[in-house]
This record gives sequence, C-alpha cells and structure tokens, in this order.
Amino acid sequence: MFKRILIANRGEIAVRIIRACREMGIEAVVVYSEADADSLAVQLADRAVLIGTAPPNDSYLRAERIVEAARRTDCQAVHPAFGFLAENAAFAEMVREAGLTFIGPAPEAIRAMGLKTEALSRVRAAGVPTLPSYAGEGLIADFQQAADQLGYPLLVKAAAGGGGKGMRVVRAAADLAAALEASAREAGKAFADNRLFLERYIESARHIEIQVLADSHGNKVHLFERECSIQRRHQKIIEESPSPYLEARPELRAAMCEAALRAAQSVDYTNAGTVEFILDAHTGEFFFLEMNTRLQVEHPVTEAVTDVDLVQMQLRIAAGEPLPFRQSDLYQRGHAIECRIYAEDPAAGFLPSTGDLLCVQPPSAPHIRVDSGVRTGDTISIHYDPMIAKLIAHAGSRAEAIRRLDAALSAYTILGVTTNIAFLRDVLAQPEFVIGNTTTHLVEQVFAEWQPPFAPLPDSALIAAALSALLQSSAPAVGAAPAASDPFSPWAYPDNFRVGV
Amino acid sequence: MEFRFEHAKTQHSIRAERDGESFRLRIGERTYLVDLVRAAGGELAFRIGDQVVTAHVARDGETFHVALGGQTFTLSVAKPNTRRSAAAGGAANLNATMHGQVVRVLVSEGDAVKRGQPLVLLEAMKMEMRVAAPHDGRVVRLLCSAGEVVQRGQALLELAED
Repeated sequence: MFKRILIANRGEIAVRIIRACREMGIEAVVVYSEADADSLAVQLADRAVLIGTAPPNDSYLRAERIVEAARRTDCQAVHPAFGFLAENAAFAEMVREAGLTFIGPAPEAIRAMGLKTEALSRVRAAGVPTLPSYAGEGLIADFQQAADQLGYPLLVKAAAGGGGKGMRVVRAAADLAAALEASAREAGKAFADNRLFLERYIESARHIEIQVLADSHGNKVHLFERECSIQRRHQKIIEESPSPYLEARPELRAAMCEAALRAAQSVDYTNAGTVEFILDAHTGEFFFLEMNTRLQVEHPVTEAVTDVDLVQMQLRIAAGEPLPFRQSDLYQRGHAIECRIYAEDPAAGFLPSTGDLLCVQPPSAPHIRVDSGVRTGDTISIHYDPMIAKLIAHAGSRAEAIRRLDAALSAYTILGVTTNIAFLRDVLAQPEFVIGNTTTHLVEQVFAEWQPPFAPLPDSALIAAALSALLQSSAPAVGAAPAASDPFSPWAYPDNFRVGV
Repeated sequence: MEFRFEHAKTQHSIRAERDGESFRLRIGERTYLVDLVRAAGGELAFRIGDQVVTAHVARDGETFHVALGGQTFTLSVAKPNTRRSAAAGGAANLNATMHGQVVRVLVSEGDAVKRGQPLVLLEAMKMEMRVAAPHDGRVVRLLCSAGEVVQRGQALLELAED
C-alpha cells in the first residue's frame, strides 16, 4: 500500500479522500490555490502545497505543477477525484511518466471513454445499446442536415463533455445554430475542446448509472445502480440507490449491470468507474450515455447500500491489490438518498449565490452523512463549483430515507448565502418524487415557477434578532472580556459584550 | 430599547430591555419574558416559559440572518424614510443577474433591440447566462465591457423603452 499520496483536488472531495487515507494509514498531501489557503482540506491534510492563484487555469488545472508537487513531497500516487484533471488522459500519462501511480484507469481508457464518438463505437461493438446520434466535425450546415434526419427534439453535447457543461436541448431547427455556438463556447472553456455532437432526446427519461470496480488482475464487479433523474440545468441534485424504477424490474437491473461491465471491458477498464445510461420510462429501453472514468460526486449512496468504501477500493486497486470480494458477495441493503446543497437561488433560475458563509451548522443524526469542504467563515466564490455539501440519508426503505433526509435538511443551518435547501425539501415532498416516478424533466416540469414557501415572521425570530442586537449594543464599554474564543460570533464586533448568565 | 426590522417588505417593531438576569420583549400587545440559555458560535438559545428556542443568528452589516425551526429569515434594520427613486425618463438600467464575468457585449450604444434579444453574455463557474432585453427598446449607454467582473445587481447597460 502507498505511504503517501497527493490529492489533486479541493473542497469536500479532497476532505473525503483525506478521511479514507486516515483510516488506511496513508499520508495525504493536497495542492491548493491561494483562495483555498485556509480551507478545511488544507487544514486536515498532512501537507499542503500552494500551486497558484484562484482561477483553476492557474492552479487545479496546472498538471505540471501538480506532478511537481507530488514529486517534491515524495508521494507515490495521485488521486484526481472528479472535475479538474480527473478525466484528462494527458494528465494521467504525465503522472505515469513521472513514475507515479494515477489512482484511476489507464490513460488509454480515459481517452477512449473521454471522446464520445470513440466511446460510442467501442461500447456498440461490445453489444451495449446506444442512442441514435451524429458526431460531426463539419460545418453548421452538416449539423443541420444530420439534425433533420435525427428529428427534434435533440440534444447538443460536447464531445469531450460531462456534467452538463455545453449541453443543450434543441426543440426546433430554428434554434440549432445558436445552441451549437453557445455549446461550442462552453465546451471550449470547460474542456479545451469545442467539438460537439447531436443525439436523440428522450422526453420521459430516467438517468440510471451503474458503479463498476475493476482491479488489475482482470476481476470486474458492479455495485448496482444509482438513479440520478432529479436534475436542474442538466446537473444532478438528488441521487439515490436503489432506483425506484429498477426495484420492480430485477431482470432489467441485471441487464443494465451486465451492459455496464461489457462497456468497462471494452476499454480494459481498471479502478472505479460509472457507466451512465438513459432509460426510456415508457418502453424500458436503456441506452449508454457515457462512462465517467473517475469517482462520482454521488458515490456515497452506493457506499451506504453496499457497505463498500469506494475511495478505499480505489486506493487498493491502484496499489495493485485484487478486489477483496466477488460479485456474489455484493448486495444492496436498504435505501440511500443524497442531495446536493448548493449556494444558489432556485427561485432565480438556480443562479449561483456567492458570498461569505456567516454560519454553517450541519445536522448530525443516525444514518446521516455530511460530506462538506466548507465551514463558518469560508467564502463561496465565483471560481469554483458552488456546492456547499452533500447530505446523505440511509434507511431501511425509501420512504424512511426521504423522511430522514428531510429532517436533516431542516436542521442544516447555512446563513450568508442563498441555498437550495427549501427547494430540495419541496422536491422530496413532491407526490411524483414520493412515489418514485422520477424523470429527468421533473424539476423543469413541476418546479419551473418555484418560489420559496412564504413563512410569516414568527415572534421567536424577531426576538432572536432583537436579542442579538441588544447583546451587541449593551456590551460593557470598559473591561469587557474579548470574545476571542468565538471569532465568528455574530456579536463579536468591536464592541464586545458579555452575556449576563 | 426599540428595534425596527423589515422582513418581506413589512416593518416589525420590538421593544427589548433587560429585567435582571432576564429580558423583557414586547411585540405589539404581546410581552415575552426571556432567559438566555446560550449565546456562542452564532447559536442563540433562549427560554420562553417552558420552551427553549434555538436560533442561529448571523449579522451582515444592517442585515440579520435568523435560522429557526428549519427556516431562514432575513431581517434588515428598518430605516424609516427610505423610498425608492423611480428611474427617470423611461430609461432603466439592466442589471447583472449573477456575480460573474462579462464574456461578450452583443450590442452597441444606440442599437435598437427586440424583446428577448440577448444583449450581454455573462459567465460564472463555467456556466453561461444571457442577459436579454426585457422589452423592445434602444441601448442608451453601455456600462460594462468584455472581461469585466460584475457583481449581482450591478448595472450592465441602460435601456430605453420605445
């Protein structure tokens, strides 16, 4: 096993990987940008190396600086997590050439799955169903002709894409040119590759993905599915395992898991990966979307129901260990749901809400997991993803998991930025969601005009505000003890106070 | 001591005074005798009768954020004589809907624009956002340029209604 690894990432996922390292007795080194100098990940890591300024282009995307940091700190392996360089084959190659282990698949597999056109032809050859699509390198006119053949509505996607960046639904021929232009620009920014492709768009779609693990000894297993149909702007916000749709259809689940393993096999996959499928809820047909050659944001729901620590598995596989279990040893136990808490305003088109986190108080309860990289006093800036935390509830049944998650959401205090907590609670209570009738269009269909529920101001809230104002203003002027023990106290203002209790 | 707060465009007045170790609070006709249980780390717990209320309060200048019972309330210290001044002459500023960077300004001063026409392209966290004309009109003045980082609410351009 490794003695020391470098984590080429930030935020909650860097913290998550540090925790896995702690349990395994591995030292964790993180790289960080100037903006993250005081972050939780930097605080928890055994060592931290500054690699640049806040914009990712000058820090978390600087492959050569990251590899140099790994060599300088005597690391044996590099964990890319997700986002940034996680699916960058050139980075994986650079790590390998530096004599270090990349904690993920081989660069060849990343490259094959990273280019959608290559991925589609590989998995098709392996007998995995794919959506009718067009991969063009040509002019807008070629795309228009191909689009007419595929029919509308259709999806414009980035060839190098993932995470919804550069993705657009086009419902009429007249809108195609503008969509292609905007997607190409977004794709160029996000992936440094502005190539696009088109594919058939399914109106009643469910997003179901299969987690796979493969070691370097030829063993491959799947860890069942996650359903991630609840999305906004093509980005997942609620994920669960098992899928309510597959619960009643065990043969379909088996077929999808089998297809996922074939997709992984088609690129000689090693380490943890996820095969994403789009499922037509009317016909039960499923189609390969893409394979994410990395850890997923929503991996905790799989960990909850399978009792497998995916990050620790990644480390073991990368260190050359064989998988410690066979397919028949794996199971799904109970139901887990994750929601992503974002600093954003769901009532204003989910626009990111930047600012200082004046108070963060996560919930704590049995079978509740909070993965977060920020705490009181941190800032949500424009440079990075505005996710504040992932909140995961595990329970015996889906209904219990929903109640547990809702109770934890209501106990999650975040002050200073607008969050989507009230929105998430409304989604959890929505009748279609409750019965498991989840499609990728639920949010846009049901919550397009969503406004936060209006709550009249209770006297207790007014009392709380008045009390804290009073405590500040009535502070003893002279001889007061400085409130240094509580630097983030809202009443720790220059006029320090002492509470008369 | 009297505090006046504004919440959801409504003004609320509360009188608060110390009464020995306790606090006496009056909201309209209602009087509460409150004991402080805890005030630390942004957490404020107080006893009213046999009920202990736990709130989190954070102050940001003149704004108090209060989290209580699973809900968040934003109260601003009310200023009695503030009234919004109306935009003059039928021209109004079009503001940035998010904190981000101006990717491209798609119009020039003097351009006639149609309702829904994209005017400015903003980007934050790799997400692109078009600021479109809310009505037909004419661009009176450009107040931003490509590459500039703008705050949410900052004026991007002045648009006159036709």
